[in-house]
Amino acid sequence: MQQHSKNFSFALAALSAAALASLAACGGGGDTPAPTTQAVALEFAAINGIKSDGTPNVVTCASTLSGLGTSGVDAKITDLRFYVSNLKLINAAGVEVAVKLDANEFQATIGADSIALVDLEDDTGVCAGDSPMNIKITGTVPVGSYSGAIFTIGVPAALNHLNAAANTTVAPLTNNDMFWAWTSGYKHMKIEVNPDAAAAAGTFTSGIVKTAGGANNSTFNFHLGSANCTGVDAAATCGSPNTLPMQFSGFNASTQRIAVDLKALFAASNLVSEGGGAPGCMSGNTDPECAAMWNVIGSQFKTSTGAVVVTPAISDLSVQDSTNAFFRGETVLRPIAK
Amino acid sequence: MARPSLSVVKAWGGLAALAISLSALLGCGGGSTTTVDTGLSSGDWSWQLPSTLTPPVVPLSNPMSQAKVELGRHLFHDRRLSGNGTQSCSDCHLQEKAFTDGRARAVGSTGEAHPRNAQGLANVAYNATLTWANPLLTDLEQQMLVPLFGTNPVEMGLTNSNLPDAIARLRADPRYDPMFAAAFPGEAETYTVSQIVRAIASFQRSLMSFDSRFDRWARGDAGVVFSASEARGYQLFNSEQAECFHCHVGFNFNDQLRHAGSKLVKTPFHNTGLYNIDGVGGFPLDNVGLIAFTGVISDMGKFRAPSLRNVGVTAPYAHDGSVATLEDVLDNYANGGRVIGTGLPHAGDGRLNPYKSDLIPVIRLSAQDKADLVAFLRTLTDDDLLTNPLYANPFTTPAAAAAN
Repeated sequence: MQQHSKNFSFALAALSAAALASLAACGGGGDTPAPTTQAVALEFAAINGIKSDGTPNVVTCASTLSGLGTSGVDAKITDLRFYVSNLKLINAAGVEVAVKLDANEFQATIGADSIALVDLEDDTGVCAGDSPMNIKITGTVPVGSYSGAIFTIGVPAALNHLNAAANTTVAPLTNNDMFWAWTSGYKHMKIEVNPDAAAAAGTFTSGIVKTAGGANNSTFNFHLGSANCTGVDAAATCGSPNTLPMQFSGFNASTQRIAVDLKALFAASNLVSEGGGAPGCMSGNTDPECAAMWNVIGSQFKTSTGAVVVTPAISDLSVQDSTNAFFRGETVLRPIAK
Repeated sequence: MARPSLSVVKAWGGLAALAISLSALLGCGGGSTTTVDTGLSSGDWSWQLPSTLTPPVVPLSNPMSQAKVELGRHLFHDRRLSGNGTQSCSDCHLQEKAFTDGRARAVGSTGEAHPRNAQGLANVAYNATLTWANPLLTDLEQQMLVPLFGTNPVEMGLTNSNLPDAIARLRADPRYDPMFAAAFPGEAETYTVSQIVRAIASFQRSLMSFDSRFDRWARGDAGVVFSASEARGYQLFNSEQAECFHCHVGFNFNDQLRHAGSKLVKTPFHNTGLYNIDGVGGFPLDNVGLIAFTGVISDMGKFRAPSLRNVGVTAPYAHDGSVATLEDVLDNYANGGRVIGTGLPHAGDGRLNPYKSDLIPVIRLSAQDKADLVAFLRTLTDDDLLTNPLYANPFTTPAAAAAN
């Protein structure tokens, strides 16, 4: 807990609307007991950096994202979905309090874990996901004031390797697009963009040149998933779980939301060049595009000998790791005003 | 419903049943948490196997049934079960080619090339792992999500967005309602992904191949004889000269076998010296093998030894289909690896791959040896598998074929 203490001095100890409402209700009559819980919603938005006026440049499937990657290419979102698990808020005493998720098709509590699928795309235009969106995680916490949020990006290990094809699998783990079946798990994050092509500007197809030759690719994929796993089903363990613990101290869910900054995510990537392996970066430990991705999202590099340069293991980071740009809240994921 | 017409199945005998129940009991010591059906039969299903064989592992969550297998046969051959309605499982797994496709590398429903060669499905129920290099896919149910929903590459091309349309196409065929009801009695929802997967997995488990000329010769069927070349090939195959049998061993001619009596299941993968693109053992980036899953450098270029059953009809060979003929396969082994000349794609001296299996360098084969080995390998073709109507495409009338 001590890592939160430095934030308490400026923590926003705002009472939620629900708590205010309950106070008002108590004044009216004696019959209704004061509620013991209050609603909370953690909202997300995709952005492409900051506009000239200093405000976040919120983007959707309809937007053209300018200046992405090392080549500064324009691009469009094709997919933007990710799992968030075990959401907690930090109360006034500095204690982490689990959010009890509402039950709906995008979120569930399964065993000891809670999980939600955040879906910031609607299958329109170049986007190629599914039409429903889910921009926020909703649930309840005990009445009180809260000043921070803690969650993990990705599917918890206990749920990640179960048989997704079983008829006991429940939403949001039934989203077929998030299956990462080749390694018996899920994509923790599925973020994809189509860069524009110089030869056919405005089409956002075939803009990625393969260094090995052949027809151009259209989509630069960032699929974050657990890698270097052994064992199957409940017995699976992964050398690189690639789940990302996040914490946002001084975060107020009623006035703020979490931005996913694509300009920051792809800052070190050349989105118009494909050097081999999976198109873009699919968490492969031999994939040239992953090296740049790991660097941005806070990877530790584990150097191997021989033909392969790195074995990424981004999950080994502590939340205090100074190289973890995700955690520092400075780049890819960070709080912005609603 | 008629059962598979394997002529090998004459009588079952109490002795075989006893052996099976003993091995099932012994199987409990393995410490595995997987719950399996070790019985020779369950419900209306009974395995039609040679009496010497233990049945395959079946997940308790998906017991075999005739109704499920029949539904699975339809779904397996149904092009409507793809994102754009153009490709069925059987378009890359053709019965007449022992459920391979004859291509070097498979092509998906959207025309995207797969980096790997489509594998045969004969006796797939006995495989400990299911793909060329993935140690994590051990259940057909889980594996099937890869071709159905995978995006790198796109195979069947189903997505969350187009799945409702694909299901609607199936629902429009009046044959499916009763088949789903019969296959999944008591399940309120029908046409679920889970049901589709379980049905196709059940069909795949039913694909048995134990009636090749080799099988009939080995069990002494009247009138089945090997030529001198075939007999010598068989001996060579099992010799320390050719070394084939180390990796292609046992009744399924592979070294990743799992059956209901297995005590210890091993899942080895092997580098056979096909590539060395960087001089330090590298394989092409789209086909690096086991290392993609383990991150262990010495796992570079390691792939699963496939079963050799029906190998005479499953050309081309190797994980990427880069070896055209059985003769070429044997040449690579006899040379201690493959050399790809300067200027050609993926040039390099595979003989010097540091991660190559120790067994490869000691193989010595003359031209006659190779001819004899090929003659033997061709005896592993099982015409029953290739023609059995229980495995065949049910959409056979011209109208159905046109609609499908």
